Amino acid sequence: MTDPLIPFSPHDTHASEPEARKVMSLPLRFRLNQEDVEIHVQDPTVPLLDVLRGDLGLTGTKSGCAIGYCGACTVVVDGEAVPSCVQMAGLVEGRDVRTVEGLGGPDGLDPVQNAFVKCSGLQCGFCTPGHVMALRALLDEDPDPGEERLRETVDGNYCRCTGYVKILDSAREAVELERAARVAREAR
Amino acid sequence: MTTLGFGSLPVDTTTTAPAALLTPRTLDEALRMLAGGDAAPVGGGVAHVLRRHDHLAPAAAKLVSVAGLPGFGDITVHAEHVTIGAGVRLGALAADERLARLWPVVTEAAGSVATGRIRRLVTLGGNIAARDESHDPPVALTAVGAALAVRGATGARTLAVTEADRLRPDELIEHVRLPLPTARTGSAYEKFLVRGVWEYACVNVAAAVALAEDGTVRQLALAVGSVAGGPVAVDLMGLTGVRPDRHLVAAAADRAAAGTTPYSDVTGSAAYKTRMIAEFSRRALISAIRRAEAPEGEDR
Repeated sequence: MTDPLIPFSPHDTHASEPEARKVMSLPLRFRLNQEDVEIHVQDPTVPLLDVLRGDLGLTGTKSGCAIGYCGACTVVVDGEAVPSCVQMAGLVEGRDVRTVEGLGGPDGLDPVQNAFVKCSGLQCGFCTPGHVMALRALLDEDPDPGEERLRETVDGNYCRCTGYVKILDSAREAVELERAARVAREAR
Repeated sequence: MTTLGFGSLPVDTTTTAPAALLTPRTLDEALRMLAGGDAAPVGGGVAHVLRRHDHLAPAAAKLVSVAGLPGFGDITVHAEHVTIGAGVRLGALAADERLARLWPVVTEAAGSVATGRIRRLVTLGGNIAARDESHDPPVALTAVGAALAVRGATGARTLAVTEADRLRPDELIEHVRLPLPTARTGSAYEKFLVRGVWEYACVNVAAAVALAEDGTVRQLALAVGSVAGGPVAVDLMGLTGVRPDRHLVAAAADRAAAGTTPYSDVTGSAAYKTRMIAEFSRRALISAIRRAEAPEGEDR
């Protein structure tokens, strides 16, 4: 039985490595892209970003500044866009996490992703998953955000390639594509 | 203090074990965990992740998650005061419309912290308990005369926001208590960022002004952050009872510059910051006076 009071110690020589991990590490259960996952982390203060990329192999979420500012690592936790590099993994226990891998639509891509493709809203593409997840969270909360909210959201992600013009075009297009997708869903 | 440091060397992981995370369901349970020794509270967790990022050892062997404790996420307007739970996220604090009407200085300060996405994580209690003299909410809370309701396993006590350094390791900020503003009160927050984004403040100043019925100044408060021992409540003794004109603003701003000790760092030299403290004190006071003079019901 796992006792969360006993942290995993790299010094522990009484148990074999896998045994030590099983007994000493902290179980972490959460909902990830609509599936239940359970993993073990050795340190609850590890950023969610490292868990996603390292433990779960979901490398769509990018590591940029790693101190919470650039937005490249943005994921959606309980409906809110947060920087996964400063989201303590231990605190996502029992919560709902969405990453860019969880997005999709009838034609393969989410309307927000389609908008970036249609408007060429990227150059190197490193910041794009963060932009997409931040806009996805915004549209889930408010399907018809005004220009100010779009700008506010895009402002949370640094892009060092573009001049943001096409990213903002993509954001506006995402609102339109989302509306069209909703109409199509309702017609079915 | 803001530095251009590159962090310390990696922690020797053979001697530093990762911390355990505990999630109590009640305040009493949390206090028992903290009283057990070698335990530290976790709010939004950002500081704990950044400690790890900087290769520092965990704050304690046991980390106690407190943001979800009952009542910790509530903002309540009572008959004579307002309480803000220590677990309230800065984003929620900045967006609270009741508080924006009562004490705009507080919502403005909360909304000026870092970025919107970081504000979704950071809790008010964690922001205060971090005791960083650059942090914005403690500066605003100092200006409005807020108090920290603190609880430990052996009892409860009240601290001023400027006394946060007296928090013991076994104690927890439960909520912050703000007085209700009297009629004809205005408040405002000014934060000066040298680059505009992605940095700590060069200077940050909070002002609160209450006017008497005849339009003279009844109460006046200025608090300054990003200075030694900050936030500092500026001594404005003798500046009440007069009209809120430019002479008063200049006199109060001079007191703020003379009564604080900024330090040189990447955001500016100490001498430069002293001039900025005077300038941004003027701006904060002028905004606060305008709001105090605005007719009831208008944006204050």
